[in-house]
Amino acid sequence: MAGTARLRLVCEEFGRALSGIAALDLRIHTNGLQLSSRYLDLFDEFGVRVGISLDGDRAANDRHRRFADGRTSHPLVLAAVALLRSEPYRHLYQGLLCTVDVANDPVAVLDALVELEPPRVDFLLPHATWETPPARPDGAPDAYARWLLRVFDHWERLGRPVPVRLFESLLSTLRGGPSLTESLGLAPTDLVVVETDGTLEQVDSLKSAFEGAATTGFNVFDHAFDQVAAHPGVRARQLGLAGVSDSCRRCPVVRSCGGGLYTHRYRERNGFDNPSVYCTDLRELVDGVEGRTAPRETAPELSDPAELTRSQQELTRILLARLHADLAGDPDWAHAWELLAAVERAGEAGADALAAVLDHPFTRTWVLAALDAARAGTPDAEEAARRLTALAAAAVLRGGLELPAEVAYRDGEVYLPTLGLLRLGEPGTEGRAALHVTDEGYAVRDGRAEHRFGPAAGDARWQPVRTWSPGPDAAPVALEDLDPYRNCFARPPRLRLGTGEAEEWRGRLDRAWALLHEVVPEFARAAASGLTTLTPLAGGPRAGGWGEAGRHGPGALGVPYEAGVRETALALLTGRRRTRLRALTEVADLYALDGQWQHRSPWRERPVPVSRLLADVHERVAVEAYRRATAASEPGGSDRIHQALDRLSEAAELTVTGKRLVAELRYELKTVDA
Amino acid sequence: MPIPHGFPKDGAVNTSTTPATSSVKAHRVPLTKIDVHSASAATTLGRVLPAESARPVQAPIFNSAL
Repeated sequence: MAGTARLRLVCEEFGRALSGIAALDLRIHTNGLQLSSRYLDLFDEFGVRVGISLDGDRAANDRHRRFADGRTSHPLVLAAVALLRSEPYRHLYQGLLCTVDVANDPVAVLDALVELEPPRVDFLLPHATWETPPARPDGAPDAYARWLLRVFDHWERLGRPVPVRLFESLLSTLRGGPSLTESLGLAPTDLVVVETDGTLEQVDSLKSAFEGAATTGFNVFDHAFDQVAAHPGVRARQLGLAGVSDSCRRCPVVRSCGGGLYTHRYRERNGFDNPSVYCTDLRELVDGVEGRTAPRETAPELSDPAELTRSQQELTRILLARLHADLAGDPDWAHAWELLAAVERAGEAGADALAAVLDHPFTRTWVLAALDAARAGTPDAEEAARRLTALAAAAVLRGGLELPAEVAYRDGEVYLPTLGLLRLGEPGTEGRAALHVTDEGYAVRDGRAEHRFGPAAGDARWQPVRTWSPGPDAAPVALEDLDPYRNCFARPPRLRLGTGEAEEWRGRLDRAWALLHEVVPEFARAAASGLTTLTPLAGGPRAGGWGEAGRHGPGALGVPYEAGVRETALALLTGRRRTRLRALTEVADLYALDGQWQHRSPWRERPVPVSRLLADVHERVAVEAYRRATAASEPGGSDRIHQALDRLSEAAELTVTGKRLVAELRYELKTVDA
Repeated sequence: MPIPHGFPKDGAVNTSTTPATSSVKAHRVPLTKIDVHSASAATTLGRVLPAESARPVQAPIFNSAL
């Protein structure tokens, strides 16, 4: 309509005005009837991407898009798309926008769109409000959902040949991610319209609600964008959950539909404080997509312990790389980082040794603490470099690698992660020392003398990390009472245990482990999976005697040293449950918008966020199993868990993975009840 | 020579008892090549470092356009 000369002026002016201020993303949307090489040459020059409205096959298009004399516009639109798809314009092809008409054949519509190889597609619900409801030819309240789900099924059958914004948005929010379109979800919408006369308006679709609905009273000549951003109508789109109607806030699918397109909520009596006029359709659409995809969309970490381990290992590596981004400028850190990189490059033995020291649960503790310090503006590069050097050295020793293993020590000693504590000088002294592997263990050069130490036997200068064996076929578990970063639990760790104390603790652990395997064998096996490190904690058992999960990698657990056999058994059981849930939440999305809703809990006086309720249930299912098996069950214990599970099942925060976990907990409780 | 695993009770430890190490390491991005600014890294970091997760804003495009 504007003509190429005017559009050129617009593109040039926008580019000039925003140069050096903001990135300019120019797009145009058209029915395609006027699209010619003259326009496309201009769009190519300024990088303007082009979207085209097309309602599907010829029959669909002709239902609403005929010329005034009744002629079809379909061939002209196809010609425009063909031109846009041809070189040199193809890179400008933004996609196709299709308005739903339930009278059309959904399969034919999708086929027609896919045939034109668009980079993306979206389906729009026709504009409607409670005052002007959408056409429903068969009177069914879910006609649009059924139509869109038929498109979805066909899209799936074709192997999702093109991204469909509507479906991808639903899949994203069901996984716990953001919505991808203005018409769905609770994410804030940052949109304002500058009309050609300079007036500033809200999104154009509002005009279909009532005359003047998009008006703000502002214009570009007299007002700043901050002013229009403060307009109540614009602010209402920024409020997330608080910006939808009361019944929407209580609906379990509100994270996905977000109350629908703002325009579709309008009712003359109370404005936009309503569910969408498409509410029934949206609910059925969200549920339908979820029901069809939940098994595939569930995070693999939930059901596959190896996958959980892999993701946790990857998390530690990414966190370490993130820390490197903060500290790379420090020479000591850079040197230590190079040593670590050399270990990783040293073949399979190097990679295995590096994996072992990175899997050490308190490596995670250290990295997180160092990132916290960097974020708070108080990075301690010296301490970080010291730990990283010790990490690299421990990997060199573990792998028997022919690489330098120089460590920096402080206060006369250095902790070698997973191996032990080496004394290298008097208390209060610091310095560097070179370590290497010998036939039987390790050695450190001290002037001319070489001090041999470890790995198994301790001496005056070497305290090895001790282990405990949970069983003949189980891997040994570290009894970690040396690493300074083990101080990450709610209560302080014990200092180094004496030899007799360690032996006593092993005995209690043996008996507690045997008790668990005897009374709750399934839970005991799950608790054993991935357990690598036990840390003795100071003080006696708390009320309930439950174990501690702290800010560490998934293999660790803190257990009160003074706890008796039964308390230790319960600590192992509950601590591992806590650790497992924490490990899951660190690598998978079990819920989103945690804290936006508060839920009644059978165990707490005040309402709690969904994360708390889920954690309580996750732990109490195991505790209930243990109590039943030891004839110490609480009256009504199972009922309370069922109540909490029922509440979780209706919680809008849960993702497909979170819901799957709740279903698993229900099944676990069922087996306990049986 | 690599230090053997499975030491006696009072020995050094093997904390790499996790099952999947060997099966996944071949596909791992080396530490020095990890792009912490990639979208997938941002998602991973955002779960444990809340400060890293940006305010989720919808794509700045109208419903009626692509």
